[in-house]
Amino acid sequence: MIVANEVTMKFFVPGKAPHVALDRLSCRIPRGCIYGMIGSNGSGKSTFLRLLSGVYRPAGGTITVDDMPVWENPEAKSRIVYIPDDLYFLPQSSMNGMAQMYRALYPRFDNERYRKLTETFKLDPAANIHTFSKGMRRQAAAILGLSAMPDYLFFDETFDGLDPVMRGLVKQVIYQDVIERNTTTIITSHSLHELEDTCDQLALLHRGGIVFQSDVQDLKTSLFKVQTAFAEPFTREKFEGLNILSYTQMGSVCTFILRGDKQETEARIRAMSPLLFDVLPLNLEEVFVYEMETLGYSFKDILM
Amino acid sequence: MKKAWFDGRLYLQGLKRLRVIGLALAILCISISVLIPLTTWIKTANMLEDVNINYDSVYGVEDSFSSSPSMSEDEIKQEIKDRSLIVPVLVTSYLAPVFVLIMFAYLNKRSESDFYHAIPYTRVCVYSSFVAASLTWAFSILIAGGLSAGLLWTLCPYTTYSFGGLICEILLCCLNAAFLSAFTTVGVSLAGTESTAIIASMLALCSWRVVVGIAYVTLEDMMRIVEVDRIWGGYLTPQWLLPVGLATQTETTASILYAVIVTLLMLVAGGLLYHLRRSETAGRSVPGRALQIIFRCLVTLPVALVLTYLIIGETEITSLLILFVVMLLVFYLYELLTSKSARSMLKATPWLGAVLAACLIFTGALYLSKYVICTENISADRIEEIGLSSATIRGSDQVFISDYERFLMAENMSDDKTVIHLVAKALRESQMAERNDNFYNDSIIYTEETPGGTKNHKGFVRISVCIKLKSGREMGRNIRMPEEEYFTFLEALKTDLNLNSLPNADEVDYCQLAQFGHSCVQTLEKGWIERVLDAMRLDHADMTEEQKSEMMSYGKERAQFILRIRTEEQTFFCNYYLTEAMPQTASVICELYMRKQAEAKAVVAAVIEEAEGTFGEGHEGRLTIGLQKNIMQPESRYFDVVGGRGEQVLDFLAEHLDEPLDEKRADGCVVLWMEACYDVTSPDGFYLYKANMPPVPLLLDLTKEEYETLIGILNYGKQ
Repeated sequence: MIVANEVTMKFFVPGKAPHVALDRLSCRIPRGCIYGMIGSNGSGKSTFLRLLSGVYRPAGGTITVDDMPVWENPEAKSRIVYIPDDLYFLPQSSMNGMAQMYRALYPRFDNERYRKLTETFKLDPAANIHTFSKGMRRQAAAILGLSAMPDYLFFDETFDGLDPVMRGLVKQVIYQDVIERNTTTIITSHSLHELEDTCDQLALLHRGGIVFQSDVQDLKTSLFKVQTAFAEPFTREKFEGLNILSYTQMGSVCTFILRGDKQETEARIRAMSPLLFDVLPLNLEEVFVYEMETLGYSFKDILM
Repeated sequence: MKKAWFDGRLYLQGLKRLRVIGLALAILCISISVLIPLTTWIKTANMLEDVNINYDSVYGVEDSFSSSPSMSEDEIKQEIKDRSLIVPVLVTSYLAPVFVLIMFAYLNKRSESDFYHAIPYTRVCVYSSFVAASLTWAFSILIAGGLSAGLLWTLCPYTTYSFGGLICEILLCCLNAAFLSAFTTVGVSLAGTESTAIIASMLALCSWRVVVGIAYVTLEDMMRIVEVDRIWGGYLTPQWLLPVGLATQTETTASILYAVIVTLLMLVAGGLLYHLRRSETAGRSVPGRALQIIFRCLVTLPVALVLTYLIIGETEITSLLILFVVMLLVFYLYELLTSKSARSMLKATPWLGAVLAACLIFTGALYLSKYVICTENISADRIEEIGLSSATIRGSDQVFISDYERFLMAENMSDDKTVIHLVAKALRESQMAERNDNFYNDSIIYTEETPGGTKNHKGFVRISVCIKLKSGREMGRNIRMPEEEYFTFLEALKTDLNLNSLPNADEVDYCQLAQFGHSCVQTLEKGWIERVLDAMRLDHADMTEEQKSEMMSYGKERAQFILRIRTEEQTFFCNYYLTEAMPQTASVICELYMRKQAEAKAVVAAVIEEAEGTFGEGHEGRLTIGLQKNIMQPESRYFDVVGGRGEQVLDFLAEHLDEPLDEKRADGCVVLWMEACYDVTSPDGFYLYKANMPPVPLLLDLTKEEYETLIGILNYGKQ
C-alpha cells in the first residue's frame, strides 16, 4: 500500500517565492489497485509520481510504500518502476542494450517476459531506440518497465502517446500483473476517457492537492440521468424527495441528474404516470462535473 | 537489500558510459607518449653525424651538445629525469575531470536525472560507483601512457632513466588526476547545467587559490622585507595550492600528503553534496538561492581582488577604470546569463557590495600585516640562528654568489655572533626603509675610485635570510645591507658553515671555456676540469669575498668557465669569470690555448694567403677580429677593418705569426680572435673564412710597441 500523508513539495524559482507544487496532499492507494490521476498541467501529477519513486524528497509530510519510506531506500525502490513522460534511453542504445542495463539495475528483471513482450509489441530489440517513433519509444519504455517485474508501476502520461491497439495491449499486461502479482499501478493523464476503462480508482489533482477521489464503479453508479415528460404542467417540486443535482426543463420535458438507487427512483417516477421516462447514459466526465460542482469547483475551469 | 556504499554493476555501467571518451583519450595519450622518445631516438641518431651543432634541445629533454664529431654515444647519452619522462601523461592527467563531467552529465538533464535517481540504489552508492569508474579510466590511461613511454625510453639507445622514477611520476600524475577530479565532483553535484558545472568546479578548485595567490602577490609588492613563502608556515602559497605535478615544489612527502588529504576531503564533500542535491536542479543554471548568491560573488571576487591589488599598487587610473567596468560586467552578466532575468540581475546589486566589502577586509588584513611586520622589534639578543634563504629577491646578491653556493648555504643555519649582529642591524634598517616605502628606492651610498681610475658605485645588497628566534619561531626576511657589510657577513657565514664555494670535480660533468662573448668556445675533458678547479681553489684561498664575488660578475670579454654542476637534488649552470686575482687559473687557460696554437696559426696563415689581393683597389675585403692585450685584462676590443687597413693587418699578422711563444709568459701574450674575413665584391659575398677554426684564440708574443702599432693600424691604418 502506498500512503502519502500531508506531503508538500516546493520548487525554487529565481527571483520569486518558492512554487508549491504539492500542498499537504494525502492519499492511500491499496495494493493491486489501478489508480488514475487526472489534472491540468502543473497540478502536481508528475511531482507526486517522482516523490513516490524516490526522485524527489518531500519538503513536508511522509510517503511510504508498504510501510517503508521511499527516499534513499533501495529495497523500496527495487520494487518500483517509474515510466516518465520525458523518457530516457542510453545514447545510441537498442532495446537489448537498455534491457542489459535494467537487468543490472533491477534484480527481478525477467528476460523471458522481456522477450515475450518485445514479440507481442512487434518491436525490433536490436534497433537503435532513437530511430523509433514517439509511440514506439513509449512502448519500449513500457516493455522495459514491465519486464522489471515491479510491485509498483507508475506511468506518467505514457498512455497518452499510445495508439488504441497498443493501449489495449498494455492494459492487458497490467491487468495480468494485477491479477497474478497484485501489482499496483498509477496512471496519470490529462484525459478522463483514457482512464475510464482502465482504472479502479480515480483522483483529481488541482493546485497541488487531491480535490476529489473515488472508486470508478461507485462513480458510474452513484449518479444517473433521467429524462421524463408529463402531460400536465409541472415543476421541480413534483420530484421532491429525490436527490437531484441538476435539473433542466423545457416545456413538458425535464432532464435531471440525481444520486440514489436507480430502481427505486424509476419506480417512483413511473408511479407518476409520465408520458416519457428514460434513464440516459452518463459518462465519467459528466459524473465528475457534477460531483465537482457539489464540492464548489467548476470542472471545466480545472481542466481547461 | 542493504544500503551499500558501492556497487559493482553500477561501476561497470559507469565504465561503459565512458568508453568512447576513454578510448579516444587513451589513443591520444599513448600515441604522443610513444612519439616523443621515438623522435628523440631518431633525432639523436641524426645528430651524431652532424658536426656543426653547439646546442640542441629536444622537447622535454634539456641537453647541450658541443660540436664534436668525436663524442661517443655514451657521452651523448642523456639521462631523462622527472617530468621529461612522461610529459604527455602529465598533460593528460589535467584532462581527468572530463571523465567526471561526462559521467555525471545526467545531472544536467531532467529525464536522465530522474532515471538515475529512481534506480534502486542510494545516492552515495551511485556517486561512489561512478566516481570509481571515472578514476579507473583516468588512471588506466595514465598508467598505459607512462609505461608505453617508459618502454620506448628503454629501447632508445641514447637515453637512460630510472624505472623507479618512472613509477613515481606515473603515480604523481594519477594523484594529480584524482585531485582535479575530486573538485569536479563538487562542481557537478552543485550545478544543473554543463556550463555551470564547469564554473562550479573551477570555483571550487580556484577560488581559495585565487584569493591566496592575489594576497601573495600583493604582499610581495607591499612588503618587500618579507619572504612571503614563509608567512603562513610555508604552506599557503600558490605552489602548494596548485595541483600536483605543476609546481616543482610539490614532490615532498608533505606536499603529496596534502594533495591526498585534500583529494579525499573533496571526494567526501562531493558525495555529501550529491546526497543533498535536489533532483529538480537538473537543467537549471540557477541551482538554488543560496548557491546563486555564492556563485555570483565568487565569480566576481577574483576580478575585484585584482582591482584591489592594482589600487594598492597605485596603478594608473585608466587601468583601474577598465578593471572596475570588467568587474561589473562579470557580476551582472553572470547573473543575467544564469537567471535569464533582467529583474533578477538588478536585484542582485546589493551583493556587489558584499564583494567590495570582502575586498576591503582583504586590504585591511594586508595593511595590518604590514604594520605588524614593519614594527616588530627583532634585536640580536632574540636571534638564535641565521641562514641564507634559498629564495632570491629582486635586485641583489645573485651577482655576488653563484646558485650553487646559494644551494650549499641554503637553510644551513649559523649562530655566529657577527652574522647575527649584522643581520639584526640590517633588518632594523630595512624595516625603516619599508615603512618609508624606500626598500628598493635606495640611492648610491658611496663611490669608490679604483687605482685604474674607474669609479665603482657602492650600494645596498639585498638578500633573503631565514631567522630563527630563541623562542623557536622562524621567519623569512628580505634585508638590505651595504656591500662592505655584506661581504663581511658572507665571509663570516661561510667560515662558520665551513663551506667551499667551488664544486668538487666529480660534481662537474661538463665544462666549457669561452672567450670573446662565446665566439670561441672549447669543451674541456675531465682531466682539464680537475686542473681548472684545482687552480681556482688555489686562487680562492688568497681572495677576499669581494674578489670571489667578482668571479660571478658578468664580463662579456673576459675568459670564463661555464660549468654544469650536478648534485643529487639539482643541476646548476655556473659561470666563473677570470679576474686579475686569479693567476693560477689564468695559467691553466694559457695552457689550454697553447695546446691548440699550431692549428690556430695554420688557419690564420691560410687566411692570409687566401686573402692576397682581396683588400686592394676594386675589392671590398672585410676583416673582423677581437683583440685583448693579455689573458688577464678584462677589456677586449673588436675591429671591423676594410680596404687597405685590412691588408695591413694581415701583413702584420704574417710578420709575427711564426715568432716562437715563450710558454712561461703566455699570460702576457696578446690574445687575438679572428671572427671573419670576406670579400664583398665577389658574386656571393664570398667568405674567405668565418670563425670555424679550432675554438681557441691565437696568442701573439708582441712587445708593447708592437701591440700599439697593431692597434694603430686597426684604428687608422699604417702611418
